[in-house]
Amino acid sequence: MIHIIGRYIPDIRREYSIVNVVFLILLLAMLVMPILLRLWSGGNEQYINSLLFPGCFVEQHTGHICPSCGLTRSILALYEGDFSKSRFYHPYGFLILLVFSGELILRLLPLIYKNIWIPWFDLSQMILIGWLLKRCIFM
Amino acid sequence: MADDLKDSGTVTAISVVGFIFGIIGMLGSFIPCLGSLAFYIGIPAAIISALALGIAYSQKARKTFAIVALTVSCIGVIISGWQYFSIIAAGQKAKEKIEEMSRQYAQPQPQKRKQIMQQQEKSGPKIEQLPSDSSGKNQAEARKLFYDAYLPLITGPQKDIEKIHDDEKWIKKEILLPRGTSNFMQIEMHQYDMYLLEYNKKYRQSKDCGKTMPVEWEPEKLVTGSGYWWITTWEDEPVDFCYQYIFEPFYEDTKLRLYIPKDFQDDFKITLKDAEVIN
Repeated sequence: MIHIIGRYIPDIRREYSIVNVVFLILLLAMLVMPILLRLWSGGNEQYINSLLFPGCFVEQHTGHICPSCGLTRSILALYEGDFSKSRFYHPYGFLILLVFSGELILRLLPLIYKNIWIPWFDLSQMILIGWLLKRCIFM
Repeated sequence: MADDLKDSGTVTAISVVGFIFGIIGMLGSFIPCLGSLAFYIGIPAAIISALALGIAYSQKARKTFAIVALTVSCIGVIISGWQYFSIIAAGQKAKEKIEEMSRQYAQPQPQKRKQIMQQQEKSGPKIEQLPSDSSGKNQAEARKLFYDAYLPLITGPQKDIEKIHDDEKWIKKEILLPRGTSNFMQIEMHQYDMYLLEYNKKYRQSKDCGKTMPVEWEPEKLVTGSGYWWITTWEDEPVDFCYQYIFEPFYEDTKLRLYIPKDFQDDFKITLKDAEVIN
């Protein structure tokens, strides 16, 4: 059955292999970014976000704290091994780090397996996880 | 599918670029803060993908990936666009709420100032008097306490401030701030009084309750993170101070600790809304 359906599935393996490598680089950059920001800011935690991001859009418009405020500092605290500090900055920083690490591992999937389904599976799981994060954490 | 169509390097390259920006826009749109900015990534991604699709049609090349890229980009644009406009709408609502709150607490805005000055002329120097039993008499003691106890605390290592947690000279008030609420606190006191505020999240502050300057409800941007401690400054002119705060804990109910010197506690008039003294 899967084999029959597979004949009608668009084959995007070749293009997706390029996309996959770009994602791999982006994910690595995202995981390393807090460390670089820390070095750049000279350890000033309040200055970290202002270096890269243009300020919180939600806070600028509503005056309310954004649900994703503090994520960078939370992940940075995890790198330093300080779980309580990480939870203080953002309660779900560890979960985001876990998801990013998981996604990094999943980048190996299209490199190892050449099945026609792999790009579609990978794309679906990314969208699903993104949506789940939105529903469970950011809502 | 489409095995009879040729591969085009140009279409592949443009589709890949469109797809990458499209998926970043779509995944980014799930994050509340960056989600609204994803709007600006999603639109170019959709245009690039559409361009790739157009080229694929003109060259009679494979269109599969260009269609996927266009679809992903368009979904990203829709989600982030919806988020962008809902934030703008929420901003408008918040602004109205703040204006309503300002009116509720009768903060004299510039347009009201003339009216207040007239009232002051009629009824005396102040509209609302602080508790009068200690006005002025504690000043010398307060100054001594400030230099002996308070100044070393705020200039020394921050962990030293923990010393006052059980110090009998300070009265500790624990205030519960329910999550998802704009908890309001107003502190009125004499010029020489001092208080410590232990709260480690972002908050908004209005200085002087609008008595000498318009109230600005701008969010504080640099007070998140470690504990924040506040002391009033010393002025030569005898004035009464008034501060207003708004605390908005997002994830969980939070406790705020307010320390005031025991000997001068009668000087303070504290008004709370939504927030509640628990200890």
